[in-house]
Amino acid sequence: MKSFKRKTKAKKLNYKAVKVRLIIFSALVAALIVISLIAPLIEPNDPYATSSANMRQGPGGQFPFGTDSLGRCVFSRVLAGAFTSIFSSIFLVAVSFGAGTIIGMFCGYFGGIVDTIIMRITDALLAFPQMVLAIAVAGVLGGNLTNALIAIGITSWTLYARLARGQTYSIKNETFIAALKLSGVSNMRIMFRHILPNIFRPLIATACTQIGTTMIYISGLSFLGLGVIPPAAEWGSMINEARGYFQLTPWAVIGPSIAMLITILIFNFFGDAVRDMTEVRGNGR
Amino acid sequence: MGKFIGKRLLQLVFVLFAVSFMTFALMYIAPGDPAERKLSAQGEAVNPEVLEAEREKMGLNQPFAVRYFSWLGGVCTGNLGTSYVDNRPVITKLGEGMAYTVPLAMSALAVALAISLPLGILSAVYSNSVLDIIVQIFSFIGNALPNFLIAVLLIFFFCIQNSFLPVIANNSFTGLILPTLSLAIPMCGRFIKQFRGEVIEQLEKDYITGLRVRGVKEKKIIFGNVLHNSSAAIITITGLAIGTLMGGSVVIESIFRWPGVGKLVMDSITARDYPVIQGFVLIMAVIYVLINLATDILYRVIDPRIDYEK
Repeated sequence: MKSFKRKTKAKKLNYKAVKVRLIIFSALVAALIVISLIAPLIEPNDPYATSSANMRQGPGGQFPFGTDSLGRCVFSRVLAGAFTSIFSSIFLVAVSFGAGTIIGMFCGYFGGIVDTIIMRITDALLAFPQMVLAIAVAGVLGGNLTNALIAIGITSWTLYARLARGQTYSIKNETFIAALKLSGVSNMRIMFRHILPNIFRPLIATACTQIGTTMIYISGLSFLGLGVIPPAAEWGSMINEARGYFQLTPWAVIGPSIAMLITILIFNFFGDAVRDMTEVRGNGR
Repeated sequence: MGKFIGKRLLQLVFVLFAVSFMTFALMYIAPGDPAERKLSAQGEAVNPEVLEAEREKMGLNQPFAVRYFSWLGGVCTGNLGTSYVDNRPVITKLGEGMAYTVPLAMSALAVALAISLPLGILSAVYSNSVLDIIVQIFSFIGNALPNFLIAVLLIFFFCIQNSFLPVIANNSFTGLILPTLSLAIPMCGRFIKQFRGEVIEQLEKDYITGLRVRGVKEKKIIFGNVLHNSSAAIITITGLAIGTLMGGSVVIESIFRWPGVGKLVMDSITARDYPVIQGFVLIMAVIYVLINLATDILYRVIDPRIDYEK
């Protein structure tokens, strides 16, 4: 129990270390995005071509990750699925971030009855466990990717709306806002040119930490058959399809699983780095 | 304190009202006509006369508000409607499922806490040690693994490779192990990260230095002061995790064919049995809201400082 003494100041964030981390993980995220964009060019085989001659082949040779029970190349399908998994998550986070921020900013800036109503709506939406509501909405609407995104998006914007509202609320009474108002600057301009840049950092940091979680949600819905519909390649639905043949073709499960684990890890680390960066910068100045 | 509880109860009434409205509206975002959906779910031939009679019976010709309030009246007396599939009351079906879901969720939560509390505290106390690094790697991976992936991998290693444990969850103890672990592992990932952060935050406070200067034993500082002061945050973190647990149980119960509410709702989605889906969402939201209220009140009891600040 002696070593208690040295630990306490361990968590001080070092600007340089955080910066290095941010650069490394930004590069990895960029690499993932590039891979998913050029996937059609680097796929060794057609991800949708079934072949009775190549059913359930082990990894190696023409098929780096083997083939699934329909003879499709698992590696090509993992690459094709990267686009769906990564871009649907980034898209959903971007849309909820944009919509939530604007709604929250309006609420915080103008206040009044609209603010009260919207904040009570977010209260009610937060009363639902997110995945429970997503499963129910996707299940009722019918399973496809658009409905899955809607189902998750219904609740995800509230996070940004509440944050943006709080931040806007706390700076709208600052003197520089009063000065802008006195000089006749329009409300829109004050909000988008002067308030938004001031509240942007914590919001974008939150958004970055949400990408990994969103990916888990989307793949979870796809796994349940409520998201991407087979034969379209998506990691969650690929794992679901292949798990019935796990004994015969374990590589058809392992391939997308590893891709998913690595991708989510990278996005989580990236999100943490962005968040730490905003904290370091926030303290430093 | 009384004022706080009163305010929260008032808020609760409003939130429950809004939740019930949204749940009711859920039925109306579904494509198609509810009467037609009901008849086709029951496998009856749909012709205009039967359809019209069914619409009348279900009260679909009345205005939306009338339907909502009559439904809400039913909900308040425990009537969530009847299943399209077998005409049994939804509340009975959900009750039967709960008898399986609650033990699973509780054991998952217990396992997750039993693993993450000691590990979280140890890795905070010995931060940057080898132990801390190993625990943190475990926690990062746990955070990045979706629960269905853990379930599939556990099935592979314990059932297919070694046949230690049953894949299909029977009611025995061994059937509970894999679903519990599948739910507990991702939760551990998150818990460890949050508990560790919480304990480190406490350890950095000035009163800890004060205690050390006065020669209080480290053991006593950790178990007496730090743990006591972090307990409010730990309870809140645990309460919030129950929402994730509810969503996770749908996935895990479907994989292991565990006959709880999660599997019931997935079967109902396949069968387009909307009243069951609706009942499930409503019950889950109500439980979640009540748990959050309880943790909020508990927080104030443990840490009454917040009251003075207002």
